[in-house]
Amino acid sequence: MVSFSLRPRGYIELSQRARLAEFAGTEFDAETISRAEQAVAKVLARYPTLLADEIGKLVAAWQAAPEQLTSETVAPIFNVAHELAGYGETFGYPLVTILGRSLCRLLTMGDLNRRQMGSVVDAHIATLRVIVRDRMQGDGGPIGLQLAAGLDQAIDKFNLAAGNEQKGRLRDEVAALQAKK
Amino acid sequence: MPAFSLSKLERLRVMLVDNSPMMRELVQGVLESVGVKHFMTASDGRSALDMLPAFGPHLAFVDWEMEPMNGLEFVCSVRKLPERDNPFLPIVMLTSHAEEPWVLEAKNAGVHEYLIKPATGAAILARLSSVINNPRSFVRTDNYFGPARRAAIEDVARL
Repeated sequence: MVSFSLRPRGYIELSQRARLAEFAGTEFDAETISRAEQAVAKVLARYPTLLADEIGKLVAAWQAAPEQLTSETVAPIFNVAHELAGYGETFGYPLVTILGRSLCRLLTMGDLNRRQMGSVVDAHIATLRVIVRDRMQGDGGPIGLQLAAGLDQAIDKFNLAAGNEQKGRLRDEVAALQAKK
Repeated sequence: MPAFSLSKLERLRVMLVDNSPMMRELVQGVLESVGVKHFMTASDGRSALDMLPAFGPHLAFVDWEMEPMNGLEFVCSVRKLPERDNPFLPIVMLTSHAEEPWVLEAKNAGVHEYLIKPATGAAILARLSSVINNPRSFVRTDNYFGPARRAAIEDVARL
């Protein structure tokens, strides 16, 4: 008869178990979980204020950008867009993440002219302002789709002028987000 | 179920590593709501690693995307610590990467639990409960040191 141990090779018993022993048996009841959700909601409620501040930083960085945009001169704008992309979804605003990523893509398309990019960046900023003004959490529903489609038009216009073949895909991204539900 | 006592977790020491102050605040708020009082916060893996021996946490919630040292590098560094500095620290990885390759990479680095953002209060408490109620033994093989992976145990059990 073959016998074997369930313990994989090199199994180590350790003092970690003892360190955590005093907390073992902790159970969280419904009332406790509800209190925890209230703590989350309290923090999330502050996100629109933070978002408004970030949009302000984006506007300031864009206004300060020189006429000729290179990877170096565009860095301050890119950094704010990257932050927006990173935390929008985390705090319940996935549309902000989609817009932040879109801006990052546009800003890394090579050496660009600020004048050429003006309207497409402005369109992103205007859309972000609508999202924060209307507290547009989640996928934004039909209005989210409309906003994305409007931005796609601005992106297509920019790409055409800049000789790029890419097409705006924000409406598709928002539709994919909505399809996940 | 016995009534939950806030004092039970008073002595728990938790490290929160995230470059977003708001995210740190969110996790801290949830843990404070269940009575946790001792926190150490850091905005990247490097500074967390520097503070770790002095603070002596029981567990850590760690974001993935941080600079200069990201969460994955932090986990790998902790697992290489000498025994006196607790390479066994239970680590909950907090990230927006929900895809399987990311989850596997984190598990292969030696995380205990994986938590997808946006995190709910219930999800944070579920990971906390898992860490304190089901402490995992560690395994050392030629290319892995970390908590015994559940799938690996199931594989052995199927033999």
